[in-house]
Amino acid sequence: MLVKELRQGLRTNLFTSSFILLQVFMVFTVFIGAAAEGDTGAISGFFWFFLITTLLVAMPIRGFNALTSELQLNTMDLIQLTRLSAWRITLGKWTALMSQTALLVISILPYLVMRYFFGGVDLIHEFLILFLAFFASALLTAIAVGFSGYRSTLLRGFILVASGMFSFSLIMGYSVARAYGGSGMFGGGITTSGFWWTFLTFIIAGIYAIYFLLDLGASQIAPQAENHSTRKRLITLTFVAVILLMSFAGVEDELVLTLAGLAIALAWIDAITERPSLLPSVIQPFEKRRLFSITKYFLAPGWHTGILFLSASALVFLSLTFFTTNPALSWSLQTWAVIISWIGALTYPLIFIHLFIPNSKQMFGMYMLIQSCTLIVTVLISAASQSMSGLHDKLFWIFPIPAISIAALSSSTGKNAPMFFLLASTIFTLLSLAIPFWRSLPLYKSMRAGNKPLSEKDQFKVDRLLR
Amino acid sequence: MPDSSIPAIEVLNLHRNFGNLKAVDGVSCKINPGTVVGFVGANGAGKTTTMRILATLDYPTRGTVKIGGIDVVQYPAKVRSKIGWMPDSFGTYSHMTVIEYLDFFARALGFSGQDRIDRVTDIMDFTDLDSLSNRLINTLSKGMGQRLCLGRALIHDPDVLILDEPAAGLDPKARVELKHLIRILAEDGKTVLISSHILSELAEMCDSLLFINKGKIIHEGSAESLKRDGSGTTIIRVEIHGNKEKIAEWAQMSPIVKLKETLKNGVRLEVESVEPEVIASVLGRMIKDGLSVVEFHREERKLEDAFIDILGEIEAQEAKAAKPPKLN
Repeated sequence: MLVKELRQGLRTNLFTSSFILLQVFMVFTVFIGAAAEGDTGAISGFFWFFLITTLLVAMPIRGFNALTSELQLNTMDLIQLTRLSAWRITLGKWTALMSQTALLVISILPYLVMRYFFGGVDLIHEFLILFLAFFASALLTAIAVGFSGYRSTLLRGFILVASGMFSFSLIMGYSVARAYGGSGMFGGGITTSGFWWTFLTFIIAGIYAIYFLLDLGASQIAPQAENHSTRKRLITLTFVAVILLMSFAGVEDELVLTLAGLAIALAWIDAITERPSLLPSVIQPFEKRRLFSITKYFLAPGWHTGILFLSASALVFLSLTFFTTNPALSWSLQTWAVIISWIGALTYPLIFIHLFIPNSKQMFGMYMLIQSCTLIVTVLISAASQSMSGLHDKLFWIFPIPAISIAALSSSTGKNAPMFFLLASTIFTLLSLAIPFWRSLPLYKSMRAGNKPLSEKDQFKVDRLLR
Repeated sequence: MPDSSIPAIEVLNLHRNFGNLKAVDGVSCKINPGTVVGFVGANGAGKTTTMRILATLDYPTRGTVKIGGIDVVQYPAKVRSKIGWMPDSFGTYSHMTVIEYLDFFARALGFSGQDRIDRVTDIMDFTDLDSLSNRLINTLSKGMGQRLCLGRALIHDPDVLILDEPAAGLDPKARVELKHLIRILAEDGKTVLISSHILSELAEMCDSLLFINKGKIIHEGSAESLKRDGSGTTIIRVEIHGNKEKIAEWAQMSPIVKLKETLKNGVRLEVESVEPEVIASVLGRMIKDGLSVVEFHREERKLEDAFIDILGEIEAQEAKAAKPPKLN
């Protein structure tokens, strides 16, 4: 796959034009720098703006059609009939894109060295920034390739805009900082004691995110007989455990919790919106050992096991968080209310999906649509509440969604507010899990039955859910 | 060599629904190893859906499909090593040459080193693509593209070939070339399932034909059996030298021959038998009775007509079944 993608990729106009343009700009900025007898903030800003734009925009954007283009060209079928697994197809595409990005990065190394000789730059720092830009490019390319497996143009467009905004904030933040003589968002911390642990935490999180996103894309193009869910869920749990242990190495609790929370949220969203598969080739490996067979209810592909995976891992996650984080961290009613509301905020779209659009084939797309609408409503309500105190409390009765309760918790001053929101969020979260759980009972029944045939009525229900 | 006791393709009560649409509705069939079977049906009849399920590219809603005795749903990877799939339209990669394309698929199928090179060379030789090895794929003609697609499907030397409309859009020369390649593959013992709209072409290539309509198999049999009219009569076209009225008069006198139609240079006669010796005796009597026969030709039913007749019969049966009983 890599050979084919490189053969094609290196011949595309976008790569050759990016490569030539980058060289022209590098020569230009280095000579301007030399003429100015030393580095100036403006030249540095310009240098990094162009380089980071290429790495974080031009190169990753090529991945947004990586898998869809194969589907549209009718070539995906032909590739899938080979021995290449969906994972190898996706990984091959990402590796080919990153190899081209690496080629660009290697081609600008001489200019970095020249900038050092012309004076005014810290070479180690510049290399570190280049490495981080490359790493960010790898992550953004993984987002692009991972989501390119979704056929919905709307969904991919949404992800493109969100990633673009993220990249733009990184580029502008860093370029402006450099232009005004600062060292940018990564500067100044190399000598601090916790820097390398934090750096390592970010690298581990980045590697995990790249893996997860690529596997997300792979599961979109994989045949139902390929099980990607078990690996994704187990690796996420391992990552969360490792990242929580980082708090013992001195990494800030807030960072650890944020990264672990993001990872588990990503895995949960994927799990609760997955298409179920009851194929014997997927289920049978779980039944090799009697004790091990129960894990199929948590790790087999599908939203029906996703609900149980979420419930069980939420308990594990909360326990690990409770025991591994700093004891000084307050575990008040307010903290619990926020955590439960946060879980509820992730699961509540399931109520709408399973009650109103139960046969949706684009469950993930629907989920994202509902969450996007929620985000807009929450932002509008939060903006309005700036001018009207207590508005959140009132609006919670109109929009009783966990996202609002989180916002309401932060502004509410009432004595019993945390208890009220904890109760409301718990009920809401349990409801959002109970509805899909109730719907998925025939699927569990089918899993339990194994090779034994189900009654016609049950089989009909299973067929309807698998459709 | 595949086990001849196990059907190359076995389909049992296959159903595939897309929402409320029943694309495939209870298809069952068995195809023996080494046979070439034509898959015939109108657009939307369920041919491509069935073939995609056979090729492990789609899933049945219900039913079982086995290739060489292996279930396509449970063991798709094993099935894939046994099949070669040629879709009705295949996308081309830009910036890739013919040899790079075949080389990519050979690598992806797990071949390496000299073995890979040999396979690619053999395939280019077989499909006569040697001279085009460095041409970009998107500059190939439709016929060349189909040969390349067939070559790709053959790289791993599969036992079963599933070809979806391989001749669609080809010019007559390319069609003859493709037919020639398929005939060689059939002689080599490959099982070939081939769909096409051009029934006369299928008749030349296939050992048997499967007719599908509205997701159901409506007929299974050889092209020869289809060409024969089920009424037990034979139509013959006769041209005589001289006054053609003579043959009409002769037909009225003859006990098992009826005048069907008077043509410009002769007549069409209906003989109340399909036996070759009876047909031969009719010709013998004509000559004996002094008719100067210039042409004596047994007309065969066109496959298209046979297909239309079968469809007509099915529709008539459906209409009869749907008709409410009369109340006395």
